[in-house]
Amino acid sequence: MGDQQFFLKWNDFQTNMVTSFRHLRDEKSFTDVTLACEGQTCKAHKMVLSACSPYFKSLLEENPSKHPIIILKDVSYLHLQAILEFMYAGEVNVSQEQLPAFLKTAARLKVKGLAEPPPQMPSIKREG
Amino acid sequence: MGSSEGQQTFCLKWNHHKTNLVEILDALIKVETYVDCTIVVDDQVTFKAHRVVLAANSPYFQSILADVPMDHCSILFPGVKEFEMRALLEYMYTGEVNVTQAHIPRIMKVAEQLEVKGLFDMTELRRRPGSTERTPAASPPRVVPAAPSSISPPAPITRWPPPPTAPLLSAAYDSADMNPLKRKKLSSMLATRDTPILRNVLAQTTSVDSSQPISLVCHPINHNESTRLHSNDSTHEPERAGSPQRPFDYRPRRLSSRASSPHYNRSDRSEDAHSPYTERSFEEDTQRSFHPSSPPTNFQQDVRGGLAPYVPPQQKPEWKRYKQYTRSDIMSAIECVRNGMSALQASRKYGVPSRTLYDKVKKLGITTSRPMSRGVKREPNGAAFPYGLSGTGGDDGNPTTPLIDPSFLQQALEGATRDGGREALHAMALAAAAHAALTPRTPPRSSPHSPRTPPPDEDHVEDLSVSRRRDHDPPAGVIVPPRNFALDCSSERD
Repeated sequence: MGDQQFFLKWNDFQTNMVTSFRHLRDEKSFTDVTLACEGQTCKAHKMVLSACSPYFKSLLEENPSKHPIIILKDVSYLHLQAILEFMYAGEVNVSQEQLPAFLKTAARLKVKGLAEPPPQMPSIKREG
Repeated sequence: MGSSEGQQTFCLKWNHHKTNLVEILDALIKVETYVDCTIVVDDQVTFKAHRVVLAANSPYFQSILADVPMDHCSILFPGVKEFEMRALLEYMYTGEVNVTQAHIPRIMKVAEQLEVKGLFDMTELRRRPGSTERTPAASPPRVVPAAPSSISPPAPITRWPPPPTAPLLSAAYDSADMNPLKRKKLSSMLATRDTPILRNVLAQTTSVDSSQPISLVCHPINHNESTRLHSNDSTHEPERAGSPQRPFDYRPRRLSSRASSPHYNRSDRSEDAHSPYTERSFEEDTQRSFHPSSPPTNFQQDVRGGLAPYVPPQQKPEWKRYKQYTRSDIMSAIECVRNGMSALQASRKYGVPSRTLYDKVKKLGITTSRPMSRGVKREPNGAAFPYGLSGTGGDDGNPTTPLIDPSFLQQALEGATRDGGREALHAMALAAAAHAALTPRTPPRSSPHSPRTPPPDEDHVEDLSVSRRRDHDPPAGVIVPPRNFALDCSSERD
């Protein structure tokens, strides 16, 4: 009786996490890092950045700060937003003409799923 | 006097404030004091800096830092090399930096991204990418359109609100009394060398001019001491604080150009011709003209027609009249003088301050057909003085007499108040200023000096301004050493 374990699983866990993070980001709640490029800024969570990009992970680890501001060189704001969207939602729509530059940027930032050499290439669907 | 006196606002101005602030900031970053952000670039190189300075120098930083409430924030700037950031920081703190040719493109690129003012400007790209050294002069005056040179923009115009009637009156009236004191000052405080005391007080623009080391102005103070008028204790102190640099500039705010300009012109004109300040480029001249009173104008003209420009736009901030004449105007005027027209005529024809024109002409070695009379002899100034002032001042004999008579002034002032006529006020201010300027210096207009020949008096003045300027210790009673003052200021800001 005492050693019997119950397996509790929330089937919607991942969905919930994604939704929640997205929500937090939209609300700018608990954001603890500011990304800046092209004169614009957006706020994000270190945790998410670190989870989705070894580049950000090491950057943030090396510079422990309550709320660092990261100024990204040669990154277009559009792409940055798309990348964040991808990090938070796992998907994003990018126009075809932007795609190469976007992927290049993602590669520079080592965004998991976009940059890593193809073990698991994200499926690129054509929309619109 | 009345309550209006008590409300009069004084502008305590230290001409070296900006310079000192900048120096202090630079010193502070060197010792990393009060720094509130860390910039991290490649290879984990960190720079400590002041957010204020970053924001001040870059709208980009300004927007980034605006909503970062942290005590100390880190700015990570991957991809930027140490030398790039070092150069930019130095530029932001001092306004200049020496870089090697090879580094320029990279630095400029970063500067562009960070929107560092002067190196990058969205509206005005005045930069010369090739130059290895950038000075503030090269920086686009983004905020201050009218600062072609490194001279910082004139103090905010907003500090001269349209003067309420009463204070203006009192100020004007006061100034009549101030001269004797000023005189005393000159002799007693050796340090207060030059007449620009007045000029500084009055001429807003020039006071900021870096070429003018002097700034102690004892405007209000003077009458405080010398007359029964009113006591403003706080203003009293700084007056004594004549530091060697003469950092303080007193000026009753309300005096602004109206009351002050004639003052300025008059008391200083003798020195103008020979003071270092007259050696100005066109650009500078233009800048001076920014302030209606700054171009040294012939007194004669002031009283007569020259008054006119001052009267109507009384409430306008000085800078509005900055562009009263263009370079081509003055060139044309010079040409006319060259061709035989008198400087005065030419100045009128082209709307160029006669004094400025005269100086130009003089510098060019052109002899004028009729040297402008400097002043003692005045022509009927009727138009300029409403309320009967003109009548009294009209004859050549002793025009000032009526003006300097206090009761007369008082009367006119009252009249002005009653009618609320601005022109009257202005005239009064003028009269008072004229009185102030004239009284102390020369025995009442006994002998008309010829205009440009430096009267002995003039040499004396120049002496004061040039050679004595730094030689003397501050008069006793220095209250606020400028340095510390600046330090305080900056630290408070950080």
